[in-house]
Amino acid sequence: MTVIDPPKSPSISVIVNTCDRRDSLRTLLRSFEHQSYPDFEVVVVVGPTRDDSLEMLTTEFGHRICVVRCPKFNLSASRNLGLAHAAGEVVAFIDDDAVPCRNWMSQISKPYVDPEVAGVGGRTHIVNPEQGQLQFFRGLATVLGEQTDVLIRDKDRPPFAAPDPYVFPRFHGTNMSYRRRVLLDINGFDENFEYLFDDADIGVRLGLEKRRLVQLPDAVVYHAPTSGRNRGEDPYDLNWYSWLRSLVYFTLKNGGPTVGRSKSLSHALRMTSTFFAHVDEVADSGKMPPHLHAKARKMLRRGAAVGILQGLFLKRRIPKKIAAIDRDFELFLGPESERMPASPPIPVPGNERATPLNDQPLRLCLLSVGFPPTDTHGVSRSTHTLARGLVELGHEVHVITSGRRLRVTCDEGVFIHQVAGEENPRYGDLAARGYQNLAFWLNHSHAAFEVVESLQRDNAIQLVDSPLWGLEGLVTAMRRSLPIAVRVVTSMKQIAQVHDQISPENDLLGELEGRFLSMADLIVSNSAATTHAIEEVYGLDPEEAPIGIAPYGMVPAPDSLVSPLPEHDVDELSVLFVGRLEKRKGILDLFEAIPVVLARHPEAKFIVAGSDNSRQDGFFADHGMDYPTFFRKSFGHATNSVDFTGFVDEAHLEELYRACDLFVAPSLYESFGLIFLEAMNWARPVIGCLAGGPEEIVIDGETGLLVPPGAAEKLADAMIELLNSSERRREMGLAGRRRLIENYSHIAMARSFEHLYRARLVDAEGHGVSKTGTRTELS
Amino acid sequence: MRHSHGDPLTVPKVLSRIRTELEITVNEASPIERRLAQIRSMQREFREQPVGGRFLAVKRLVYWFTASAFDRQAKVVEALLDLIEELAEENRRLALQFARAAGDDGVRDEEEGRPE
Repeated sequence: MTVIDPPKSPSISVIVNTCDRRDSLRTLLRSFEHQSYPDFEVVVVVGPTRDDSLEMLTTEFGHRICVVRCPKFNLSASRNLGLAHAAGEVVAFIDDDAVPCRNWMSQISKPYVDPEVAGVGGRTHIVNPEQGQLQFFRGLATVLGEQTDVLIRDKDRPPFAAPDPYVFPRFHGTNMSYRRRVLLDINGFDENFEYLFDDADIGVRLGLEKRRLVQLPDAVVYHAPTSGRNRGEDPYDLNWYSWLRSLVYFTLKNGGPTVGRSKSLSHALRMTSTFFAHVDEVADSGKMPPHLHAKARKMLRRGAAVGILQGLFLKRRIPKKIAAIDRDFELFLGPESERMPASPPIPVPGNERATPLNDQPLRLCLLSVGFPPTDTHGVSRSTHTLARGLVELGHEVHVITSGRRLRVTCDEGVFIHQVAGEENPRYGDLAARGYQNLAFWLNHSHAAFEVVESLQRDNAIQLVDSPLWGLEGLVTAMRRSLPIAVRVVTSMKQIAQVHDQISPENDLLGELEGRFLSMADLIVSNSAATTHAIEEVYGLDPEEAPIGIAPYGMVPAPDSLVSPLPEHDVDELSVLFVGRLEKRKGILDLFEAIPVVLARHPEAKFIVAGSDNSRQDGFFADHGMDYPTFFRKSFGHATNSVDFTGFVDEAHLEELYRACDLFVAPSLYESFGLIFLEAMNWARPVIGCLAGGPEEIVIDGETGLLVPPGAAEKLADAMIELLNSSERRREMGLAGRRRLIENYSHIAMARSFEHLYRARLVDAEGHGVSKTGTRTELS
Repeated sequence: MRHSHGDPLTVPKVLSRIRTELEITVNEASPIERRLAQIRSMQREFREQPVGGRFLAVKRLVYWFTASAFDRQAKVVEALLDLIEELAEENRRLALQFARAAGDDGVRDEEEGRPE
């Protein structure tokens, strides 16, 4: 019997062409530490740099990389130098302001098993927070310089002026690879492309040679375009000269021999006029300042003239032969690579650690339908805090949230994937039957699952963390391909019970929450109170259910911004309430207590910050009015001392915390109570109820006072007690701040979660399968 | 809130429905779509290299005389492929509707182990 060896995966030389981008280059090289494909080397070609990139490369990466100097500021020449020095079977190009996903090389290596494959490229996302978009997906280029960067469906292909036989797949310069032999056979890149169109030119030249190029839907590169010599800080401060010169040259060089010189020349002139029209239009719309507009027109004039002359009369500047340098293939990965902190494309200031961690960093995916700054509800904020803490500890964190369209951005080191569940409403018929909330949540859960799948392929994420609220991870949990942690907050079922919102849909959502919990590999509760409540509400067995406690946290405000309360008495005292105006938040108890307090402290002012929820909790239906109106009608004499602000944004809320003398939140039940941490962050004393999370956060008599829930008189007594003593308020505020920093910072929160995740992952690995495989089958 | 259309939803029905959607998502690249992509690729290859093999010069000459007919033929093929793609999409949509209806009405009650 003949034994056929399986095809061997190729060795890869990653070529990075760089100039004056030390910081982003460092980020890129650090991100290579986490490539899942081991068989690769790195060749860095440094242009005529004016920064200290070379020193950085020597001191931080030393012999692990091959550094080559390129005296010219010319991308194609730089690429050719890299090609000459590469020792791998495949050369892969990536920009110095991008980072690849973990499985980038692993994915692009696979098609090379077929010896006919000449090149492989992948998908690129721009991840700058303001510019986030899908930058490249299955692009095309024609011999006339027409290009498509994003082609989702074949039938959306734009009509090209070039005939079909002259339309070719092309790759994106920041995410392309070729068989080294193939590039050497065509003598590399045309060095007349100093910048831009070098990638399309290679695509067309290989296309004309009938070489096979494979475009992968994945193999993602996250691109964070950085300013440089060809790109200023302003989005329209571009090297327009290079753009048009390269385009015209490209069209004449590739179009001339294929569709004819006159046709390509007339096409080049048409595109030139389009360029002028475009910059004029942008300037007219006010997006391009006048000085940049004048500069752009001047550069375009020069670019068109030079492009035509070079295209018609200059020969291609392709090296006659690229002499491959004889050197050993040097593996990049070292023994410490796997313990290096994760490197997001946009580094977090102050967090550029270069030392290995104690353990391997984790690759995590958090779900949260809302996310700051657009959404500041409790789950959104706690997810944001957790994500930030995990990133600061060195982990790779992806958050899936909702948005108007699919896009990926990177903010504070966290990858944020926005999905539009309503773009593909799978459960629309449920909404038509009256289950609107269920349909919304299932659509989102399904859209999030699709991103989870792609993150599993690209980034090999290890665990998905979903809030119980909204069933966001239900579809992912049912797919059972990854361990899933469910973060328990106040559940829909509890809310429905407290607000007497009994309906078939709410019952169903509550039951689905129970099923979702039963599918979880890990249940993370933020307090003992939440754990107890969830065991009771869903009948979980405390011995059997995989429950762990990880208290929530907060990013401590800098000491310089925190002003402790004064030791002396003040003329006017301010009491702050923050939260939705609803029964569960104890708003009616506060209303009853206010007149009692005012009788003792007429100088006190009450700020009630939060939106009215009377229509949702049934109060309006019962009383025919909202909460502020109810207060004015019932306690008219106290109206002047109470300010109902309605919803307040984050910045305003911060001001309110800093300005108050006492914080009060008499919720009948809180699963945790982030608002107490917020007040403690600004060194303010707090008053809460002996109901749920506040009992664990607030140390009664030390950082604040606790009263029984629903006891307006006790609440009034507590407020009076603290308003009586400025010294006590100050001491409690400072004690609260200390407690926050020690026990409830975002780092403390992230460490608690990390501990539980690791225990869960180790447990899953110890069994050889994800625990998901051992659960009761659902199908 | 009123739920006027059909029987009230139950947890098993919802879970069954999610499984249906999952199957559709996981098998999204259907054989029809893959075949269509292959045919489009063949069509492009034909347009790039319509003749080959022996007597290439003669064949090219013949092709040159008949090129406009091939152009028209290519447009017809392109239109047919678009139509087939739309039909495939319609077919998927109908299959989805059917699966959703079955998920609602014919789902097995997992907890009881019997059809509802």
